[in-house]
Amino acid sequence: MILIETDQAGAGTSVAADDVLVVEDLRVYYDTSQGVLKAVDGVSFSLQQGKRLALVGESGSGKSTLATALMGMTTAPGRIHGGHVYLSGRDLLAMNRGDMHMARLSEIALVPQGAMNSLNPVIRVRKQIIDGIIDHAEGKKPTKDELNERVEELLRTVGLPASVARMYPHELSGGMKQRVVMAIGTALSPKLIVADEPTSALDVVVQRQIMETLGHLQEGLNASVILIGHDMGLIAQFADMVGIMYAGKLVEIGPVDAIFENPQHPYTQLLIQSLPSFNKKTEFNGIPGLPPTLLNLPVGCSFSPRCPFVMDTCKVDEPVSREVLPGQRASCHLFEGDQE
Amino acid sequence: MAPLLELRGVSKIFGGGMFSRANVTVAVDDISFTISEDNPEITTIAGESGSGKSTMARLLLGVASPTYGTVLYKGKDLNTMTRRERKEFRREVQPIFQDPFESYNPFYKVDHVLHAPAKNFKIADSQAARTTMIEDALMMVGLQPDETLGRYPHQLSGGQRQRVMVARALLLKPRVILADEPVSMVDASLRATILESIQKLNKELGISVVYITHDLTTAFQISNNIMIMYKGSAVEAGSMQKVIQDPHHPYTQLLVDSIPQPDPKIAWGTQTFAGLASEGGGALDGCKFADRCPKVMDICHTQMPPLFQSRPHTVASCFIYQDSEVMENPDIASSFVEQDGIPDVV
Repeated sequence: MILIETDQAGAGTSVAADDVLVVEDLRVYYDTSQGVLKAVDGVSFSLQQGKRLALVGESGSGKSTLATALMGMTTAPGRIHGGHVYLSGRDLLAMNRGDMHMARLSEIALVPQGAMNSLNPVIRVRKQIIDGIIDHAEGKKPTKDELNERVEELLRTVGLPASVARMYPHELSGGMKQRVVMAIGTALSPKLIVADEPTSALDVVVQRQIMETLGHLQEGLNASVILIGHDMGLIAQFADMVGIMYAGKLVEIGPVDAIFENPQHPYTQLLIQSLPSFNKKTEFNGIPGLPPTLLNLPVGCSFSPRCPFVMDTCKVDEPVSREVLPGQRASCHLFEGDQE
Repeated sequence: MAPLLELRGVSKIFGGGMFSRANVTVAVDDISFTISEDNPEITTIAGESGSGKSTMARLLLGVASPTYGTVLYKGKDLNTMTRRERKEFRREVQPIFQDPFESYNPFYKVDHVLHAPAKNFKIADSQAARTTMIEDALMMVGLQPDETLGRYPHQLSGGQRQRVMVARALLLKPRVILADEPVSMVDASLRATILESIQKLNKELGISVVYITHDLTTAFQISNNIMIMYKGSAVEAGSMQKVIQDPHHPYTQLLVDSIPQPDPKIAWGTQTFAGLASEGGGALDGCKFADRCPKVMDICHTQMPPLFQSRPHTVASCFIYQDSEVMENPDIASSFVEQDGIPDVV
């Protein structure tokens, strides 16, 4: 994995050949009556084919805004302020609406949060699956037999019986609905699956089944996955790479083992320490203070008011992302002067 | 050991009626459970959605009445209490709910949720004394009164709002706090502070806490004893340490095994199991978990397993342990370990 070198302006440079997704200095702002809200502010990362990246953050850290921007679905009052999103070398943000429409589902698919509410309650499952297939068919329309076969195959891959095709969403349990949504998302074998908290409303037992299914799907397609969430346990079990978001910025990114064992950014360190485990009972280690409001961010590093290692420079200058350990990058003044 | 709040053989059945036995849901199925007066503890009731844990909370709060059995507070049946006794019960047993967004009226300042119960229960003689008590309660849960009072709910974060709710419960000097998923809608970094303040109420003020949750990791950190529910029945109960680190009931094993550990080196469980919890949980013969159980035996389909004393301080309702003695006292809390306040650091 080669990560993008970023300078202060955040312009990306090197791109590895097998990177499916390259995000360069992405900025998504919301225009509100109280000013410009920088929900995603200068995020850069890249993702190799067949790898799983998890993006973690508290509510309001910009992770869902980032997912929406990757899908080209940012709507007013949100707007893309700058940056690039390259999917297999093509800049999604520079595409016209028609091209983006075709790329969505066939190349980049979304498994949304709260799948319970993403299905149309008055349409049978089969129709909801084939909608996207028909819409994206170029040239000859697929025949009814082809479609039926495809629907059956898709349902089988997500672990559902073929009879589900004739059912309405209300006849399915929460876990089954989530599987149907995954079948819809992978109907056209996308290269990148963006899963936005796919199991947030499900019980632990069902959660594991869904994540296993998502893993099988991804391996079967050799696709890449971006998993958005805040359940560190789930992320430790599922992801290859972890990116930590705080107040619209990617403060640290690295391989999953490194992030959990040897976190570098003070926020990541506190986050990992605050995780409860079954091995030992400890006093609760909360992170002191409150997450900042994005409209009124502190000058310099956004985490400085809560940071136990805060220095004078943190309250003045914004830290730059730099490679702290091989493959692991963090934005913190503590690592200044170490290298580069 | 005098019981404070007590469920005696309580069942709660929804639906049904004279001609429709088919659609009956047994949300709580013959459970006896006490919260002791002398030894204030944090007790966890855990289970998946549909296990009946929230119905348990509603029964303990007296907002739902049992179909069978009785709920008693200080030895008096909630249904036959006098007005005065009922009011005392209402003050001494306080809830903390799941959703810190829906517990507030958005048109009132947060002060309202503190002043209204304070006035209603006449906890102070004067306005000034009341204000002092409110400020003390806020400080107890780690909030600055001047940063909290006078604001509208939308001006506070989810974590702050939930802590105001803890302060509200605390203000009334309750004996029991029923916390129904108090942190499930709060960000991970703020969960710890809320659980910490709940733990503080237990340790420093001697308030008994019933912590109702599906999250076994936070439960493990905060409480000494646990009761695991499945389709309205207690399947395993006892010392938290034993139940979590070496679960006896196959359902508890499945549940613990499914929790993703926040450590990439601990592999996710590999236990295989069949299907999902079926809907409802009606009048089945045999064990309710039999259709999903990997260790199912013939007897499981015909007989309902009683609670076996499978080891000291743990009971499990499973025929695997049929050689053990059947628990004599129906009160599930009698299997619990007694410890004061602070859980042992292992």
